[in-house]
Amino acid sequence: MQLGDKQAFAQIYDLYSDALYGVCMSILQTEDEAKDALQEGFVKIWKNAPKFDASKGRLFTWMINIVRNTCIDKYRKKRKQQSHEIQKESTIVSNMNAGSDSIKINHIGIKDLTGRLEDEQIEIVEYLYYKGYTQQETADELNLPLGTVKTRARIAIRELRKYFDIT
Amino acid sequence: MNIEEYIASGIIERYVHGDVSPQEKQEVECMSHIYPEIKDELDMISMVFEKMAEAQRQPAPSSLKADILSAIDSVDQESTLSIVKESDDKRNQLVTKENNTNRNNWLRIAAVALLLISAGLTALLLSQSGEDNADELAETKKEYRERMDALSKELQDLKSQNDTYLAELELNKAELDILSDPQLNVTRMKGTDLDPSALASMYINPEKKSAYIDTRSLNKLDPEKSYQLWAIVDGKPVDMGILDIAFEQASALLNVDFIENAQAFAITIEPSGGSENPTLEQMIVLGEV
Repeated sequence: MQLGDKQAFAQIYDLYSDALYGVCMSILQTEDEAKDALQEGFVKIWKNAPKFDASKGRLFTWMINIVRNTCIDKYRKKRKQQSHEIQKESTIVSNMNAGSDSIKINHIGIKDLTGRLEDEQIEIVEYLYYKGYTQQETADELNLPLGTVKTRARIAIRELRKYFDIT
Repeated sequence: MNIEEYIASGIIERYVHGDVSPQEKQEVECMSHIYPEIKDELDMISMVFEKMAEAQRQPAPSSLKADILSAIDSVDQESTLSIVKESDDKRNQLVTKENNTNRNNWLRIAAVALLLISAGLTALLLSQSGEDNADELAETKKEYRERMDALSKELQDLKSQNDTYLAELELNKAELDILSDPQLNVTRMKGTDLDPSALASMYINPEKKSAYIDTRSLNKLDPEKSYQLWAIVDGKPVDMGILDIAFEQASALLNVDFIENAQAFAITIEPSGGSENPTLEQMIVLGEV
């Protein structure tokens, strides 16, 4: 793919498109937006493939981040437009909050985790892995100190690592 | 450097989640190159990140694949062409250019790496200064400084190694200039009974009135002895002087006096400082012109 091989790109699409589409759905919640975001994301992946450096990280991680960022940009743009429409800049944040509160996490992955993780860690996982929030945004959103978010994120990773059997 | 603390700071999670500044990004990449523990942690956290994405899997709309494949038809990959072209050019340079350019290149790469590391560490120091207490900070600083010192020393070593290579290269080039002159006459001087394996070569350029001798195969002498070169002109030995051979050097082409009408050349082993007349039983090589 890095050398402009479209066949390799198609294979990568087959391998990862469902997972990446799921990521888009988690953040954007509507099929149309998720579709647009996934297309935009894959075009970026194609465009930037020559810049991908395997010595610095894993391909799939790199791809997830490209797609996530595309979704988050779209999400923010949409919220901004809506808030402009109602002429109230100050509602951007609360709109974001209201929107994210309504997200229903109903994926198998998270359900299976309920026995493993404390509720407070599941909440962190939701924000960091499903909604695409940064640690700071998560802290702001949940009204928690950043340090608490960091600690919970680390505990969650430790548990997830065991859960996924990553050694 | 306290790797556990670095990992516990959560910067690697933030890196994997794309939640870092460009400076922090560079720093994590740098640190994971230096410390295998950090690289392992980075891989582990990436795998969790990937598994979590897989857990969200939903079938993408089937029409999307064709849309995307046709969309990329009209999109050029960023700088692919220039990258390929550049590496081709570089390969050509390797073939055509002098070796010293290559050596300078990797030296330059080492210097840049060192700079990046130092920038990364400085950034790390700055970013941590708010969080850590003074003792830990001092200790971390000390460890970084030691690491920096080690790297600086390494760079110094590389530099001096490079200088050595360059000097050798210059010598070799000069030798090549001498030896590739079409006017050059070569006289092979073969070992005598004293040492049949000994060998020397005289290179005489009558046009330029210059003479060189290659003594590479001669053994090192005790300090109280010297090699002395003689020319035989009209049947008589003419003193061409003591050969000041630098045995440690890669190059062994010595500049000697030019002499006309020599029928033969010989080297004898004489007491240190040389003799007025050759000690024939100590003649080690002899060659007729």
